[in-house]
Amino acid sequence: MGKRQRQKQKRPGERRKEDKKVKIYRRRAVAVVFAGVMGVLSLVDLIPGEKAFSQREDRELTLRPEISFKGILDGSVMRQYDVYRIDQFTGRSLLRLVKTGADLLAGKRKEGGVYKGKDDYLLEEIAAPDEEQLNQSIERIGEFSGRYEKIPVYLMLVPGAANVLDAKLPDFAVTEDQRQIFESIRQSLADSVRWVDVSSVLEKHMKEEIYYRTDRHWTSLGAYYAYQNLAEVMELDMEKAPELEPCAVTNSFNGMLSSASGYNTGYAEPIFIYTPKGKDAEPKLVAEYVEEGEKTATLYDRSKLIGKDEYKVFLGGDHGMVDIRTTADTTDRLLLVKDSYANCLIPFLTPFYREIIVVDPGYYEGDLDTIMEENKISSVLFLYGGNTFVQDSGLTRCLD
Amino acid sequence: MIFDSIIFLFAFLPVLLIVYHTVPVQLKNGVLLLASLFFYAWGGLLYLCFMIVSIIFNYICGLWIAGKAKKRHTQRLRLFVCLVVNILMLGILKYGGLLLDSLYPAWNTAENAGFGMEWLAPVGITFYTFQMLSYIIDVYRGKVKVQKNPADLALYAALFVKLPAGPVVKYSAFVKQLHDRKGSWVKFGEGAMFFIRGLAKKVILADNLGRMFEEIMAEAGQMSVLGAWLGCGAFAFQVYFAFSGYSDMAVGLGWMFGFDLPKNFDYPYGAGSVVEFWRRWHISLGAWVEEYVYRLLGKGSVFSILFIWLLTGLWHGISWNYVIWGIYFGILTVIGMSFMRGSLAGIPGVLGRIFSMVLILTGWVFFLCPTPGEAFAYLRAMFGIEANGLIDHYGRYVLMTNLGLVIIVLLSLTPGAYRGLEKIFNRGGRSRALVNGIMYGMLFVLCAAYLVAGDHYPFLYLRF
Repeated sequence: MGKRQRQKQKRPGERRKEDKKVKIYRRRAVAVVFAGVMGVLSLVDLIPGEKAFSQREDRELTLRPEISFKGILDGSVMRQYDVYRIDQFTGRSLLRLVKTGADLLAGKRKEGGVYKGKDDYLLEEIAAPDEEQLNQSIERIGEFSGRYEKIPVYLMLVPGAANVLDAKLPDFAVTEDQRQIFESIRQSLADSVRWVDVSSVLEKHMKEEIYYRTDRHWTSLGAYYAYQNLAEVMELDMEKAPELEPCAVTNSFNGMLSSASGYNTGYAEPIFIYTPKGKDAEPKLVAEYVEEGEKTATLYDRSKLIGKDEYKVFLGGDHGMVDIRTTADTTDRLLLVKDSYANCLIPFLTPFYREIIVVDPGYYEGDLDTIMEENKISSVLFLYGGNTFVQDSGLTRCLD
Repeated sequence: MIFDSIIFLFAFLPVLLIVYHTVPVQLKNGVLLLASLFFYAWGGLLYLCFMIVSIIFNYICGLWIAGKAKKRHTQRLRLFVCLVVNILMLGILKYGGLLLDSLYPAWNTAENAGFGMEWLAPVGITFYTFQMLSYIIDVYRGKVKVQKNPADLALYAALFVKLPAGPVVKYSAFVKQLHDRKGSWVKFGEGAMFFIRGLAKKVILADNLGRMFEEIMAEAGQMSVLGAWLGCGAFAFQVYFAFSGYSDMAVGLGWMFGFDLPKNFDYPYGAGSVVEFWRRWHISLGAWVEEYVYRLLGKGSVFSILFIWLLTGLWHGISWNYVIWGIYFGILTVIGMSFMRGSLAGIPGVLGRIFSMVLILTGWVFFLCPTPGEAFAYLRAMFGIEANGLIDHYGRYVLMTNLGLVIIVLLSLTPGAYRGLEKIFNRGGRSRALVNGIMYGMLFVLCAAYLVAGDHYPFLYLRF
């Protein structure tokens, strides 16, 4: 006889007793498991050790709050303490993985502003423009260009991966129309600056590795293609450019999009730099980090290859002003106003300019007109990633 | 303190459970009282002071009302005074901020925020005040003996288990359990099951619905019909799962300490009519209103129904959208109750359920939007007028990337799925019971994961 049949054959009184037993078993089981899980997690959390910064999440973690009488009266100390315990919870990374996994199962494909796309691509969402800020930036650039009529001013905006590689976005995803945003910027500045079109160039090469899969930036290859187009627009003398070959400086890059979202934290990708073939073709240069008061002979900061943010190998990250002097045979001088996208493109420009003054308005305290007056700048290039440009306020400050 | 927090789950609760179950019986209530006061003080020492004042005041009221009186109507007068003072306290603490705002708008700035100047109504004030009112009214009616032990009365008002979000327990139902309750592993297990289910409702369902709601509202200017309904549903169900989750947690915690607290929700979205919906929603409050307010006003009259609904709306906030909400449901309730056996109230079967759901969701729009103008604009989008099409890309995207959530939410709205699971586990033997236990354990861990790594949405009803 099967178990079911045996059960059906029992008298109702007996069956009720069995049901009651099962009820008891179930509750006892849950009681034990609940107490166990709660006990284990509580004990594990007692393990001392506070972290001030999370590499995986790339953000500062809340530390123990200061106690004040007012804070206790209105509860703010306790609220901070709650956040502190959450941030410092032992096993936080593991639990974060559990949550990301559960979310993925449920269909979620976006976390922290980052899409989990196809083929291991992480794509940053396209930022909606801060209209007021953007209009100000455009105005100031126009005025700036007007002040220096003899000097050509170029504007190069780099589209985000979510725009160029939109086939890699998760199904149904909808982003801002960056092409349209760029087009309207181009039109507003049609009379004052020379527009360098990057979007169509990148689109031509979109089957190649032109964007990092775990970071918001373009790869050096993507920058290279853009540089070729830039050279045409700026009419650079390509005779001066040495032949280049790629060389991987690291194979274990895991970028900022991974930290921000928790996706693909195990993915490792290479960072390439392009070096001239043959040692003699290497341009000699000195890069002066003006605000820090340091000088180096190379544009690559290998110390940044240890740790999380390896993209900073280019120029050591973002600085207010970097003054690059080269041994190039020319009197041309370039003022480059940029955000972090430009960092991996600058090495391509060194053969063409005697001096490149690199300014990042996000960090620079001064203003651009002073630089123009104090140096014999022959051309100006604004090079920004699309997302930064439409929301940036630093540019207006520097152009005041 | 709130139930869905790391500090409660992995510090306060385990320590309290251990202490409570180790001390001798005479000390157990004392432990609970101290723990409850600490729990409440965690939200701000100032707010604890308000509650203690209320408890002491009502303790004295109880003694006063029960005391001997020379004339017959003296007692009624005493009751009246006590009621008025209680309601005044509730009113001032809840709405004082608004009054201050209109008289001295300069005070309510960001600098003064956080310390009573930006007036945050103390958490649970309505709950403990209503319970105190229940006590003194029952003493007046002679339904219960006056409570001479202030600690016992304090425990009734402040028990952390039911303080943040109810249920509202009548004093008469609670007082016997003060000294006559037993714990057991089975009760503890039952409590753990309720608690984990409630925690999951809040942290996994409600908080994610809140996130989904924000996603939809990011494109609020150009919603399609699909988008508008997704947004409204996300909002309505977020409130439901947060509130019923808290209630489940309260009942569960009660069991862990031997208390048998009343259920507060009975699958309201499975109701066949609007009247039935509200009978299944916040059941303990409905019972309280029926016992202590309805009788005063004249039970069942159109006036009393509308009046109570209007008050309920205003209780959520003094603004026109809440007034409309109250009147809307007031009218629907009147119609529903008049046609109790007619077609409108109880359209049978699925059609009735869908129709009620539409009516209820429409009502929630007035909570969702802060002004009536926005609410009507939203409603127009929901019903296809001035909407960005029936289905738009963005609506589809939000739906597809939240598909798992949507499916689980829909399954959890009615008892069917849960009862099915219960049948499966009630049939098996020990091994199935163990599997059941492990499933609950995994659910608990999943909740911890969402608590630690997810966005946290404070339960909006805590403000009430």
